[in-house]
Amino acid sequence: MSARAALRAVVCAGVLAGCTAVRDDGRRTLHWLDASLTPSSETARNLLLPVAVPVGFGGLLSDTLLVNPWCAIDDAWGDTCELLWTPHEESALRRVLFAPVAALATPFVFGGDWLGRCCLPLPPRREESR
Amino acid sequence: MSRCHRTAAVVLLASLSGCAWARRENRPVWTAFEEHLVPESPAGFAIALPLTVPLGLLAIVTDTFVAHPLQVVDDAWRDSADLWRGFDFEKAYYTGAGTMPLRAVATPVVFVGSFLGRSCFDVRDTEDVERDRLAELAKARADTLAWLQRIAGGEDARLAGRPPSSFDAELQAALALAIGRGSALGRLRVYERAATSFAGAVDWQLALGDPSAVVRYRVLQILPGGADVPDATWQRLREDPDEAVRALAARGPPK
Repeated sequence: MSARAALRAVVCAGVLAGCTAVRDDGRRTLHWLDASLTPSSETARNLLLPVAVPVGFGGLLSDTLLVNPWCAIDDAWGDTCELLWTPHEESALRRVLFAPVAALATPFVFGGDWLGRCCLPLPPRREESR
Repeated sequence: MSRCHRTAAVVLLASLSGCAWARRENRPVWTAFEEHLVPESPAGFAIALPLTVPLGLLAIVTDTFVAHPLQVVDDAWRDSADLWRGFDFEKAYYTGAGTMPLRAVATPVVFVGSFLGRSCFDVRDTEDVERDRLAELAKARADTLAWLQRIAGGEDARLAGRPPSSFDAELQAALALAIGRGSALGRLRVYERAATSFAGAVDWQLALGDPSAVVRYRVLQILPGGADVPDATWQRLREDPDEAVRALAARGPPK
């Protein structure tokens, strides 16, 4: 893959990752900023807008590129364990035979799941299991 | 982009615009042309063809590329302005401020996309859909009223469209008049249509007491399951002068 194609893929993934911020729980940094640093008076809010725009945008980028991917690790690992390592009424022999395949598949499943959760607005595992 | 690609894009866009053209409101020039400039008499129509055909094509092209796109500019603008609504700076100050650059970038994209989409396809807003629904209801009501009046006048026409599911006072009065004054075949048409479309508006006990044995027989066949018919009526039908009616009534009410 050429450098240009790789750059394109990264930009596309980055843009796609912005979709994760569509979900309310995909904007942890922004929620923290809103709750902690919002000026109480309207005048101050208007005056601070030139600062708030880059700060808010930075918060959005931080959610998209750092916080959400970090939080997705736990969910991706949970998905991988559930898919490959959780018994589903199969026999002990079948589990033993399947273990090497599961071991081989683990990094791929984990990586794919993590990438999916980084780029798409999927609900977190605790919400899915409700 | 090569010339070939550009031509293909224009042809595709023009073909897609046909979807929008299917709706009457989206072709004002054609509608005005058809209503005012096309002669109604067969001879005039034929004579004017060499003139009306090219003018008609011009009207279609004008609708597709000028009139309808102009109609949808404000809708596209409203779509892009929607991106800037819903700011709550008191509760989500940084969320609102941080998304401003994205909204600024997205605004022209949404405007152009919406403008092209609305120019090519028949995109309807909730208000348009509601207006169409009300117009459809009004037409169904008017058609049904006219049909009932024709039945009352002695005709036995069938109702072409779909009648409204509930009848207001005027329709009820027209129905009563159609049953009271209509011919046997007319009443039969009304009962047949009522059984599938407006069963609640009809007095089925009255229908089962129709003077015509053929109508009574047919009503027995199509009687809706929930029709409220007292036992005395069933008893009377079992003693009906017509043998076929007696035989059908002996089977009892529909399950």
